[in-house]
Amino acid sequence: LTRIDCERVRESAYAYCIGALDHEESRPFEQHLLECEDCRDVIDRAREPAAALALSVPLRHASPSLKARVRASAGVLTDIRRRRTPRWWPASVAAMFVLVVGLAGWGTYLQVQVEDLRDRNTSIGDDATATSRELADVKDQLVRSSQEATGLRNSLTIQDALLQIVTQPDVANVELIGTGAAPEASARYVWSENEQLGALTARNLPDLENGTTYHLWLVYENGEVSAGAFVPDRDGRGRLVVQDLEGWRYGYGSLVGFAVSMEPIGPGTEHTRLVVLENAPSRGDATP
Amino acid sequence: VDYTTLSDDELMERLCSRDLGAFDALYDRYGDLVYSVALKVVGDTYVAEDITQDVFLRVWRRPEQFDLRRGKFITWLLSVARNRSIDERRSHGRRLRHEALPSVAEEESDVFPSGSDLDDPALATLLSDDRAAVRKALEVLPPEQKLAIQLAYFGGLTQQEIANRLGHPLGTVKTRIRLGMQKMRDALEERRAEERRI
Repeated sequence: LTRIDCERVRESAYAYCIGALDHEESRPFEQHLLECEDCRDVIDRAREPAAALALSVPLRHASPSLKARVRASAGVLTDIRRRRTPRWWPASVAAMFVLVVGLAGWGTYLQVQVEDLRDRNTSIGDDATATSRELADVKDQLVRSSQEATGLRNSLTIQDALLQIVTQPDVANVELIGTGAAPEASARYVWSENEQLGALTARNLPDLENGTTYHLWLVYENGEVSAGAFVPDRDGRGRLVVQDLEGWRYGYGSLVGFAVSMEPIGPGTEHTRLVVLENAPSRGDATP
Repeated sequence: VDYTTLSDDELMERLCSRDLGAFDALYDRYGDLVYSVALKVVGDTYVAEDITQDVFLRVWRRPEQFDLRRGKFITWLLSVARNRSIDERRSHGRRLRHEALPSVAEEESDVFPSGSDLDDPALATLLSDDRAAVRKALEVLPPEQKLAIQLAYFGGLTQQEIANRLGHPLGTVKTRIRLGMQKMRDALEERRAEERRI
């Protein structure tokens, strides 16, 4: 659009009011009027003489039926509006009621669903907890069974070893007694040089501390060697079979004693001195 | 309520409250004038009646479109009637162009009141003072200014169309319209001043 100024608006004010501007002229004209209050006042003043032109027409009487038509049309419009109004309200109120009831029902339904889901969730949680407990119990039972099986296997192994050892003519044994760290503990170690086989049976051993295990130490003239590690059962009974006795002795001289100590799990060449069992003072029948 | 005693603005106020009595009163007051304007522009009684019906139903449906601050009700009503009539005339004119283009003489005779254009005697008193003042103002206008104004107002022609139709420069037509309307306004204001003095 071409912008026009106030002067041009005032020059063309009458032409605008009697409809003498074409479309291309009217658009920027009206755009200017939207933005300029002074020019709107000018146009308002120009409208009156323009409209007065209509008073110059010769007066004619419209047909009497025209008034009846106009009146009837206005009445119809009124009736339509009136009919629309009462129909609109009940329909809207009914729609709103249905909507509110529907929303309330939907909300209640959702709430019930949520509560149901919550109950189900709680139930599933309880079931899961119960199942978890059952699984834990089963696991404990399995562990216990495994321990018992291990203990039984060890027991059988030690029984086999003892049978082999005690039937040998060079069988020897030594009794180990508890130290101050385990005064109730006691043990017996039997061995046979001919079979190169030894067996330790201990009882009343204290519970192991976390990350530790028991070691049987063979004490030689020139050092100590771990003959093996073992874990006692729940009753404090421990068993260990020692094989290849000659191999342990290599380079350390004569066997002079035995000891059982609690040691950290892992490789170690020396015991920690937390001795719980050691061989009793020589009683003659013990021939280490 | 005696609606005949109410002013135009009071009747329009009642119209906003859907008062059919006020609507009847407005039609009784201005129905024939609106019809006469429409008939002047379109020249067909049936079309003029349809236009009159449209104009009054618009007033009935949208009375809030009249803004009291922008002028008198009669000024607004006659503007609506004239514009609606011009729209119909232009629409009718487009249809006519496919059949036979009216001559300049026909259009000029159409917009100029002839000597036989007399008021219906039963309506002679309607706005008689105002109408007399306007006619008096038009009579004193130079014929070329009067012709340009009437071709625009009742014929629906733009300044450029008037210039083309009459074979006059566009600037001349613009000047004639501006000066003629200025004289119209001066004449009406002078009459109003005389009324105040009386």
